[in-house]
Amino acid sequence: MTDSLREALRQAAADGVPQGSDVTGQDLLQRGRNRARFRRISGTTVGGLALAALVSIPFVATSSSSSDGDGDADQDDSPSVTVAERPMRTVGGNGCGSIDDYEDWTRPVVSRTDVGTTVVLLSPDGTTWAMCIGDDAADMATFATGSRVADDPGLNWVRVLFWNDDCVTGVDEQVCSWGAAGQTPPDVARMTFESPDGRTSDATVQDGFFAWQSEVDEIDVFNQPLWLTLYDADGAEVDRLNANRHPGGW
Amino acid sequence: MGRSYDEEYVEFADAALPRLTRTAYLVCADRHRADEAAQQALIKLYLAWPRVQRRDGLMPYARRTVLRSLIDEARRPWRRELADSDLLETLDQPQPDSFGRIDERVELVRALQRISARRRACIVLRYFDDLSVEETAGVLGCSVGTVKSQTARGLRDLRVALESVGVTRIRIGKEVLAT
Repeated sequence: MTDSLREALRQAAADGVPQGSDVTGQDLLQRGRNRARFRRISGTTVGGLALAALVSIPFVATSSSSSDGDGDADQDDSPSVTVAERPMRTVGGNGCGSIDDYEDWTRPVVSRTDVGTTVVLLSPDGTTWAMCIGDDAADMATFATGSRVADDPGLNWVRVLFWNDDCVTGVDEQVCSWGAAGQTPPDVARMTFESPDGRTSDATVQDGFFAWQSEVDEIDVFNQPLWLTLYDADGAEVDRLNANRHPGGW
Repeated sequence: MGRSYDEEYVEFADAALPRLTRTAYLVCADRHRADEAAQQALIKLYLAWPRVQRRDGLMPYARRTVLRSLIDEARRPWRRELADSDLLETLDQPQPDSFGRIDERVELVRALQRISARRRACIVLRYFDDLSVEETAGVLGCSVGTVKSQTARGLRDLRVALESVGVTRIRIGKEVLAT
């Protein structure tokens, strides 16, 4: 005798989660009320804290001399460029808020693609850069991150690789995508990213920074190498390296 | 006089919690995480109740929130490593009990964890929650075509995973797994 998948799933779920949870709707109501109260109390300070965190984020890129922290540096075969050991710290899911919150910051790069818009922001004193992604440059509520500007990005090349797999659960009908942003190494005029699914596209390179974002068919590619090729102004290849130092996320 | 906002919420939460917990359990194979994900989803629902009730629909919102929280959590390296090592160890050493079927259902839940999150979500929504292709697409926020293709690939992956541990009595599609 056989069971249909439907019936087998029902029985498996019942085995794992028998009826009779101790938690009731009344309990959840109370927790929801508490959460709402906390939101009201803390809501007015969140915006200020997010901006403060952004400005005070420590420098996280590593120099070439210290890039052997996780043993993968040699795989890059990259004498002139170092991929950051760790990604930028996320300021917060809504850290960018309205991009008007950064009114005084300049925008070296505003890159619009089919996937969305990536904006690189530079602080008024030129010491800190940040990145926001979203559907529209006017309301960049999706992501924020940043780092101090490196004096010599050839040795301390700062970059961040991010990806969005909210497409899995369909949040706001987002597509699967990944991208990168950061400082452009010196003498580099063009940057090309080559995804494992065969997509190849150029980053927007401008004023010492770059931004790149691309759709993917399957989130499986996030576990695979993302090959980045750098070219100089004459079109000659400067370097080629795997920019996906943190396969699968962090 | 109509019922209050809170009364409506409590009634909905009491009815939805067991179902959401079971959906979460099939997605993550961990009772405690499933409890937490379902409860957190319903708390978020409370905070967004008027908007969700008006615009999104209560159960689709709750399901979407549960799936999102589980998948976000699975992306954290420490969580992922634990789940993978647990899973592989178990799948490599199946130990059938004398009743067989209980054992196969345990293997089914474990096998689900071996397929990608999106495909797993499609299978659970389609075959456990009995959602239509259109409803599944609504919860996952993708096209009907994506749901169809991901479900088909998920069933294929699930079949392979079950065969590898000798599960023989669960019909997937019209096929019965070979003995």
